[in-house]
Amino acid sequence: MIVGSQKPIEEIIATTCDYKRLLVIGCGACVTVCFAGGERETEALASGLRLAMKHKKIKAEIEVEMNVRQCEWEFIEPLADKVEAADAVLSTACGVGVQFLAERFPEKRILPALNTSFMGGPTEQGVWLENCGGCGNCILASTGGICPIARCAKTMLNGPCGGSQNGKCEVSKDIDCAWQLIYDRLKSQGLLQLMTDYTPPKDWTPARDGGQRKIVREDLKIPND
Amino acid sequence: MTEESNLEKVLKSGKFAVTAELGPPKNGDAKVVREKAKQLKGAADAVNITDCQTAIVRMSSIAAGVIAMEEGIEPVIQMTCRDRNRIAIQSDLLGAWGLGARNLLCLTGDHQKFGNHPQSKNVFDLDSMQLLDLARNLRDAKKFQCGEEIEGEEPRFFIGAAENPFADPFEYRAPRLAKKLAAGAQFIQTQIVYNMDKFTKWMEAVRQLGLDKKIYILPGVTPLKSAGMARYMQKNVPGLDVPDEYIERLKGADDQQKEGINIAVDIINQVRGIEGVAGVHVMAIEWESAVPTIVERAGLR
Amino acid sequence: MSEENHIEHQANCPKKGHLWPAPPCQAACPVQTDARQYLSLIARERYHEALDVIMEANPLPSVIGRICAHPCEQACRRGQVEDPIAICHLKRFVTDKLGYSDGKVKVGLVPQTKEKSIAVVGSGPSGLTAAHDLARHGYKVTIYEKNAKPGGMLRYGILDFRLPPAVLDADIENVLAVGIELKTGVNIGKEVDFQDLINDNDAVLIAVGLSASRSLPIDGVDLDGVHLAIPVLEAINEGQSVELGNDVVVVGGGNVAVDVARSVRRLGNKSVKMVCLEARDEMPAHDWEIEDALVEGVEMHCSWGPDKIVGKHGRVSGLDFKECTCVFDEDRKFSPQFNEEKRNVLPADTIILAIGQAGELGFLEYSGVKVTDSGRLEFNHETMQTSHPMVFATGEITSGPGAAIRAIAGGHRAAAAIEAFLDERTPVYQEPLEALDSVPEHIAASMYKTPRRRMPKLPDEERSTDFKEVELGYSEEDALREAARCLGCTAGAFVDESKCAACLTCVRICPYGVPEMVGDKAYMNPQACQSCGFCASECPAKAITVDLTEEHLLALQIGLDTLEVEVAHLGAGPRVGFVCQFGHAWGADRTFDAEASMPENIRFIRVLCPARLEPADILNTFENGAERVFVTICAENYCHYKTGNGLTERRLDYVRSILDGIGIGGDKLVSYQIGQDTSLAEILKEMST
Repeated sequence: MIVGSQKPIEEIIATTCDYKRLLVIGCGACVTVCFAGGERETEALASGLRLAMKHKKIKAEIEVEMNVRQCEWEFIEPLADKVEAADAVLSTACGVGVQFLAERFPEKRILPALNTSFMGGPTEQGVWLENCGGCGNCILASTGGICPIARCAKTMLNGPCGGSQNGKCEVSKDIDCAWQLIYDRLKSQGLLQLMTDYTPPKDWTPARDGGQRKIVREDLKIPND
Repeated sequence: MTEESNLEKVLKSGKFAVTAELGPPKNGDAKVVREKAKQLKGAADAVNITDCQTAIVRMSSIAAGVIAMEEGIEPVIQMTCRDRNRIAIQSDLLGAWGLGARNLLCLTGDHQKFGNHPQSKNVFDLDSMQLLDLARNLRDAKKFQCGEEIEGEEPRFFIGAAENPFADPFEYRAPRLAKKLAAGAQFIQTQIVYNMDKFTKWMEAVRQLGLDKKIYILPGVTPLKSAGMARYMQKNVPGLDVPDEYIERLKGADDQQKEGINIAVDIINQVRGIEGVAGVHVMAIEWESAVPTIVERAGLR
Repeated sequence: MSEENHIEHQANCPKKGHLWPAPPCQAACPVQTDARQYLSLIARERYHEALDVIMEANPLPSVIGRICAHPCEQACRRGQVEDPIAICHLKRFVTDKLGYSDGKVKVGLVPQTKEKSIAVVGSGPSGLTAAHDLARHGYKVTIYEKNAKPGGMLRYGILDFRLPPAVLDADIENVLAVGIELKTGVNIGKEVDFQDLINDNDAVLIAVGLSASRSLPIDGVDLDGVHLAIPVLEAINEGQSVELGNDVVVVGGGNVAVDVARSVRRLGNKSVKMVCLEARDEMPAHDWEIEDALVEGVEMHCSWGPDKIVGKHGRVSGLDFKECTCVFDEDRKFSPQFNEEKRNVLPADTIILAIGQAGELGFLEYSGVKVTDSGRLEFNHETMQTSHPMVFATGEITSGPGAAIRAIAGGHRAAAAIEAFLDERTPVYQEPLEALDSVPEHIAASMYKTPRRRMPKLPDEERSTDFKEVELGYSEEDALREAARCLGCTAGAFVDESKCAACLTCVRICPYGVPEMVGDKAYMNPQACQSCGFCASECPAKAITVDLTEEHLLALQIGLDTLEVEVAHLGAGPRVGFVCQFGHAWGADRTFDAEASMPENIRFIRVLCPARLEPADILNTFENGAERVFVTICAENYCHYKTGNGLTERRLDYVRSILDGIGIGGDKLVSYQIGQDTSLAEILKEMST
């Protein structure tokens, strides 16, 4: 899933405090599950903002609306009236949701409340790790199901650099060395040969370097009559 | 096919080789390079010119290498993957060759986190292994990485790589050297050796794979300038394992620098005795003037 | 759990308009009192609301709080953990605490809005209840009572040491206060003709109870010194002198028998023995009453059947009896078997027969209301009607002897039947509730153990000497601790499946491991759920709700803004304390009267564990005008729900970080750990400035 976290409230206040009527729109998908923009966090944020306005002696109306998934036109549409009535919209969705709102309501100020961070999952309650770099050309088959693109600080493809120490990355003691993990996994599977084989430079064209990526499935498109 | 560099000649001749290191300045002053080059001249068979080492912005390794050549030094151009994609790297290699550089050291590069621009975006389009392969193909296949033929003169570097015998997973380190050899590495300079036991073990593994016969291995040696520096390295450089014994020796010495040189000489003498060691890589960090003394004291000049 | 099972449970989700199983206490209660709700209110010191909940089902709270047979407690699932909740004692506590049982609370008149009138014969619990329901719905109601005072068996059948007359008076006064006319000392058939009641009213309700004692068809019942139980009880209750000897034998094993025995013990230094057919564990009287009787010196002779009463000079001298080997047959029908070989004699100068009661229905002669040959009323349980369509009946006369609360239930049912009759429609009665099943053993074993609070009683030696109330009533500390033991059965947690994001938070956070994923939705088995609400306050999708916490905050925060103005002169704005009632009840100094010493600028919001609070709840408090907020948290290892203290601490840290970001400052949110030696007074002092 997409994992993000709420921006510091100071930053949110700075971008929203000029608007008298603010609509805060949460999202019921990924950001709910990662405790960044679901109903609970959105209401807490709205409450915090109202409190901040009160503290600054600014009169402001701050309302909350929830959305099943902000990255779907159909789910956004029912909010049109509320959005029109607001001076600005604060989205607690990921960057995708923010952009969908901005595209649907081009005349409206649409502001992000989150920092969208990565694709990953929780390792325990309250801890999320990045797992996928979205490179568009998956190599997990040869790396024991551990992605060095997302997890190696240098996106190395031919084993660990000299900074691998006690299973940790030289960048931080809190980061596992992806290649140590890959080594251990492949070793236990009797597949170390995969690490001896030379991996040529990666074809990055399916990755983000090619501009906005697009997937078209002709078989799924709804035919015109 | 190689247009033999001095370093390659020395190594091929079986003579115990010495390489040193020259860190370009954090400014555009050529005089600094010249000064350091003068200090190193005659003390080493070739001198590595670092490429923004520890991700700190410094004068380009190729430019500094050219200045060093003017002072009569044979440079080993260091090239990292951190700051350049495959286009920039190949372009720079063409330029370096055109300017007369003949030795190339292929590195992945330190992470920018450790440098003075930790906020920068890194590149790592390639890793060191892929860089070795690229450099070799420029020379032997006369092809760019994309497979396109090089028309005209191709760069024909004597290609080296680095290896850290002390990093994890330890048992993968010798096979990884084999992988570098296969990717095109002809000589290898190692991380600084203080932990002689571990280095010896690694060399055993290297010999078991028969690598010592196919690649020149130059263990890294760095003189400890003071007990403080020793302690810092012990604490902060993972895997370096500076033994307490050295720290004690430095602390007990009247002249810590002198003692540091003594220790370096001891280390050189020890690695020299290990089968498969072809030379030493003396890295006197911001202390280039120490190199001639060390080399002389070790009886290498 | 299996998919099938799950579907069945989810189909019962109350949020979807279906019935979830009821708390067993409520299902077991003849009037379906929402005990769970009022216990939760008591635990939060919201006594007025608790009384309202009690009185929704029961117009005689002070009485029932003392003498109820409390089937709720027998059903209580806390009993699986250690002891059931003392629901009855807590009901009494509320009526005492608010002065309801002292007659200090006055109920207002409900104006008559309907033309029709109803006559109720009998002012026992069933008659009073029916009259109360009807009067509250705007009917004109008159109660006819043959005795001088209302209350029926409550007054004459239950002794003062169990139910002081003043308490009964207080409850009845408030029942009548809604606008019921009471005519006492009126014998129907004598002073007033039953036919007149039919002629003058739109419906008549017979609620006369079983006020006559049955006699025994054995030799010697005519001897001097043989008495029937009810007249003895009535006489004692009215303070009339009863001529009794010193060796008294009470025959019977029911509650009336025990009541008589205990009453007679109090008349002086008499030997009182009870003889009954049933074995000790089969006796129909309540266990706790038998226990009290034993404590007070009543002797029990169980499994004996009276054979004949022997006498000398026309006066009782003893009771002959034989062993009773079996009271009931295989169908549980009364069919006593005796061992003629084994016999015994008890010397006695007084014998009181308490073997059962009968109704007095003589007044119905020629009324058109049919009475069977065996003296029973012809009665339709569905419509509550007698053979005369305008005449209804309820109470023990229709159901046989039973607990007062059953009579109250009958009263409600009769009122519903009468209203339906007057509106010419089919009556709608309270449906029986399906009770929640038992607590799974592993859950019961993992729960915080807290034993039932004992009811303080008169010392044993003071008991058999007078008619002072034996049970003294819970102290407030007793009540708070007892009420907080409630498991909150089936109060949640409920999952709104349309909102559940399958994040697994509830599964991970539950201290009891209750939530599970069924397919892609969370599901809490109500049998295992403790309704602690942790999952609800943590759920990022707000898909989980728990009753009893829903209303918890907003209503209580009303008025904070005006408080802001009121206390402006103090230089210290409003403070709100979220007080954990678990910790407060057993940690902080209860002797300290927080309400009386409450600084002007502090408001308490009492919660059953602050881990039920969401971050937004606390922020809302600031938003509503609080300048500072404090939260009391139980000391480590003292959390009623195991992990609530840690959960609260980390949630408060999160709120503090927001307050810091806003510029209000996280230090405006304070937490106090409540331990045995915590001084609430000091907390208040610290917080008020």
